[in-house]
Amino acid sequence: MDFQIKTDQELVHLYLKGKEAALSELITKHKSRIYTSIYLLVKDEYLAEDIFQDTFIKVIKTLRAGKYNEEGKFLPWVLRIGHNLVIDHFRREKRNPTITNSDGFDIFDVLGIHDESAEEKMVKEQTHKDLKYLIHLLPSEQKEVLIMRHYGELSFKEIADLTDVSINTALGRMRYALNNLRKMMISKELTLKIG
Amino acid sequence: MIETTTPNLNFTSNNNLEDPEMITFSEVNINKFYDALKPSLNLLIKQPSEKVIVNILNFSRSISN
Repeated sequence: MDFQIKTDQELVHLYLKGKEAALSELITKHKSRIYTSIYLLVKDEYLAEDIFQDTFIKVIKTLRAGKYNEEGKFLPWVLRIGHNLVIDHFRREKRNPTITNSDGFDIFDVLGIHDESAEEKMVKEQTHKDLKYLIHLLPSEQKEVLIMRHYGELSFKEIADLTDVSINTALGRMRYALNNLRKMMISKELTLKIG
Repeated sequence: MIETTTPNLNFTSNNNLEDPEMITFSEVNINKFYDALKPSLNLLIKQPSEKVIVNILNFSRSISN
């Protein structure tokens, strides 16, 4: 059976019928979006992996208990679980997620970028480290919307529902996030390297 | 790399945005800025380790037996 052409809804049904490979396909399909969304909020890759794992354990338990009723909206549902687990973590830790420093993130290890001069590579690396740092400086509610919209690919309606605000507020936060990023990039003379 | 679509940033009726500086940075410009930012944002995408995926799948198998 070719799981890659199945919809999320079909994969969930197949999983519930005992096809473990369907779960594997769901994870493969969405792991980048979910993990990146968690990682950019907690800024620690080991903690992000723990929360990612806990998220899917909760997903599995909920599916097996027959409590999943959001057919066709698997990704927003999983992102909501992950988001809630991040909030739970910070409540336990009682610390602000915008304060902690970043870890030794290196995008080039992940992407395997080749055929660049050492200078180009250094500039690109620094630009993206700077951008990651600037995202972390955003107020948490703006950062959340940016992450959920860009990495989670959620609609503003879904973001509004998830964060318990109006659609207008979610849109406003996205705009403020982008505007704040733009202002910080100007002040730090950070130039985007496109392509 | 995840491809994303540009959201419809329709702020013209948003009463929350009274900041004059926000108004001067027009919707067109902010969409252009977002489009320019996307490739860099996409380069921040990360993957969980294979070990975590294996743990999850093992958990699933363990409760199905």
